[in-house]
Amino acid sequence: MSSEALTYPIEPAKAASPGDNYLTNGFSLKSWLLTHDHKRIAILYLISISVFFVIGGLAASLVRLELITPEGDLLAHETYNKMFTVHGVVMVFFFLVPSIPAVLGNFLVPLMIGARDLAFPRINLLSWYVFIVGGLFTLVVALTGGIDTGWTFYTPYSSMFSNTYVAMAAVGVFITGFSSILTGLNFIVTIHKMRAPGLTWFRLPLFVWGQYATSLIMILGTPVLASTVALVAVERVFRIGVFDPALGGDPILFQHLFWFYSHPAVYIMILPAMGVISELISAFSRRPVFGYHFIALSSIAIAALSFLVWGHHLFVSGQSPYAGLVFSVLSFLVAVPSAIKTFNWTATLYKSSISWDTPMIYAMGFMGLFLIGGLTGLYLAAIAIDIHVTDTYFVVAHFHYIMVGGAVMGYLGGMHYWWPKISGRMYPEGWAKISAVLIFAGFNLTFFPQFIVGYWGMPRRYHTYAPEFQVLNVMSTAGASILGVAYAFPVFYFLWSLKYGEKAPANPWGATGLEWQVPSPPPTVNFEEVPVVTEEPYQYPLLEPERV
Amino acid sequence: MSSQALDLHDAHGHDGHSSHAHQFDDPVQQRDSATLGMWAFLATEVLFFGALFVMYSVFRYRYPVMWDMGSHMLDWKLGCLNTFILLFSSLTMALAVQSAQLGKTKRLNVCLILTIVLAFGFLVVKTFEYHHKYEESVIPGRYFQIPPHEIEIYEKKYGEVFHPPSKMEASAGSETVYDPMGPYGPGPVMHDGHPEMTTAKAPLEPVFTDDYRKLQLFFALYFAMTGLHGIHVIIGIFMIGTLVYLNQKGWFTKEYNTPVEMTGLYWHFVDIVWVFLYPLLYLMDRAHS
Repeated sequence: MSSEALTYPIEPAKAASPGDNYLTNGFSLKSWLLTHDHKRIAILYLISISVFFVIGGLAASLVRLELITPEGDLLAHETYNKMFTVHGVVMVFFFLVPSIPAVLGNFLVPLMIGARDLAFPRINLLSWYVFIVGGLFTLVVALTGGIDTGWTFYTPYSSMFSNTYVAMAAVGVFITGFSSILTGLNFIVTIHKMRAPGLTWFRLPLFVWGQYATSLIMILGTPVLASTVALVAVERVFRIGVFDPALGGDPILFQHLFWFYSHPAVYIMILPAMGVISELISAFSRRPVFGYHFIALSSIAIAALSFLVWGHHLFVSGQSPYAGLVFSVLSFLVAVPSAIKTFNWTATLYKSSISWDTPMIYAMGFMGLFLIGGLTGLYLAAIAIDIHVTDTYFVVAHFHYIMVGGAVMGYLGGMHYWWPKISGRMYPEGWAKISAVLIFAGFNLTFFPQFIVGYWGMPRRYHTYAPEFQVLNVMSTAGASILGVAYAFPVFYFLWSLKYGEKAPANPWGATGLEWQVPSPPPTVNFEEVPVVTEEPYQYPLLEPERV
Repeated sequence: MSSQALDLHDAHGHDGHSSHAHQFDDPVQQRDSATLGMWAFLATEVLFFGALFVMYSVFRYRYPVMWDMGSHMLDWKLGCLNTFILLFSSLTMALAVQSAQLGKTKRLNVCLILTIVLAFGFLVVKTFEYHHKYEESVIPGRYFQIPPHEIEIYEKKYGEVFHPPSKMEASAGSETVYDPMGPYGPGPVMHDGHPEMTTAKAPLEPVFTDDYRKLQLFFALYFAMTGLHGIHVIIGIFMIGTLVYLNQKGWFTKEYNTPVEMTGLYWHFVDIVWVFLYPLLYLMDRAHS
């Protein structure tokens, strides 16, 4: 960035009055659907992924209800298969992958780095439309008869045998992939080229580091998935057999290519959440993040390692045992940067002045759940144990601790923390605390029993099971009910707060970071003057909370 | 891609008072961002094609003989012609970028149109190749066949007896071929009123001999790789066409020509992909034949 940048005044499109913000800049449908404003696009994403979350959640509740009894009495085999597939496809591709990057990242990255918008605002809008088109394909599949392959689309079942709408679902996932690629591309260019003067790489908020690492995975991993699922669709339509052993093809090749994206995709979900947690821990313990450089670089390390571990999904698939050995060791290595983060967060908390606002409850919840999810990941990286628990509920519990316990807790924590900035209103703290605690409790009740029942040998993806597993399954379903109710709370009180919430000051938490220096909600141009950064990040205690 | 180019255009708005889009501080920052964005996008493209190259390598390693035969069934002369066409179009594109940087808009126009013509030339040659394969029924799928003269060449070279598709002919009309649930059937059929999952029947006998299937895989990947590349050529034609249109409206000057440069990067990428595709697909083991 050139030094003249300092002298460039911003020309607002029209004279901005003090009350003007991005929400009041036009009220027509067109002003939303054709907006180039990253903040409005974030809201578009927020609404769409919330809808997908509800769809995925409904499918999950049917799955859990079916599993109350050992017999298959609520859903037929076929319907059950379709339900867990819809749950997986929708939650992975249409909620978790876009959740923090496309909503919080879109809203916050330009604000945090002192930019007026992302580098390519039109591409940003395009990515939302691409997302919606991909989502519509998937919705059509879900409504017209579903798909029963599991979210992993394993061949040759998906490409040759399944009697469901695999090709259309594959097209949906293919299209949505490009939305993810465009978002990642936008973030990478924005973070590289548009930081405010003085905002060096090691002064960036850790959230931005998390987004950067995520974007790297998005642009390098997603295209591989795209060509792989495209070939599944082609193979299904033309019967060419690249992945079908009966035609000389290779189903293991599909698994390699699929997990080359889909394991890194797990880090697409967790890295932004880790970025959120770094912000929350620092703001609510009022201390600079301990080991800032280590946390920042561990995000990049996780992104790099993420591309070298996919083979641990193939330990029992007929992959060479020597490859398995190497993938096992590499998978253990991921624990190192993950532990660096966890230890540094803990060190930040040590002897700090912690306040227990809702975002902090989510942050603490994240740390506990991520710890369990991460450590059970080590079990699964060990070949011997993995062979025992492959395709059991142990695996299901493990990845839900990471994806729900990690990514969703981070997302909700971030939503509460930045809600005053996004909406200009405070949410009701009491309700929020209740729902945060309920989510934590409900989550553990849902998924902890699954570790046990999985270790005992209950396989995943069946709608009947041996009667001795019933008690734990009933516990799990009970937990899921609590979780379902608790997830509904934020929807209601966030909407409620839009009208009745207290007006939020610019910086309700007394937090550092450029995003708290602009009014809540921010004006359309973000910054009237390009800010100049002269300090290291997280200089707490810096500001007294403006709370009323 | 083309929308990225358009994104840069909104910089050069019709108001004419600012030379860059509102989110940027200055034109330099805008140009740098566009360049980094394009390179990042090309990284994505490399991995997009990368998956197909991985599949190609795996099966080439596994089925070397059939890969060799498949390669010989392609017309290396037409491929060679196309290589020259694309390389020449890279030259005209590079000249277009240079003309834009020098502000020579007329020459820019000529170079862009020449590039489009060459791109069409490439597609025409490709169409002839595809059509030839279609006529010989060397199209992966149910009607995949190997022309007899190719089998002769194959047997002369390797001295093996190539199993004729006798089983396919013999079983024509039998249940194996027409079993709609079989892996070679036309596609999934829902069984009426049957709530349970229908398991597909394994075919009693293979319809094709092994070599047929392997050769079919070669052609599946040939069409996938060249087809994906062809789609990129078509997208490129639209992008360059947009440039011609904008150039005639007088958008590009010495100072502002980023879209031309970005499209140039994209076009060179498309060429480079072909430079890898041509030897991998057309030129296997030519020295021995």
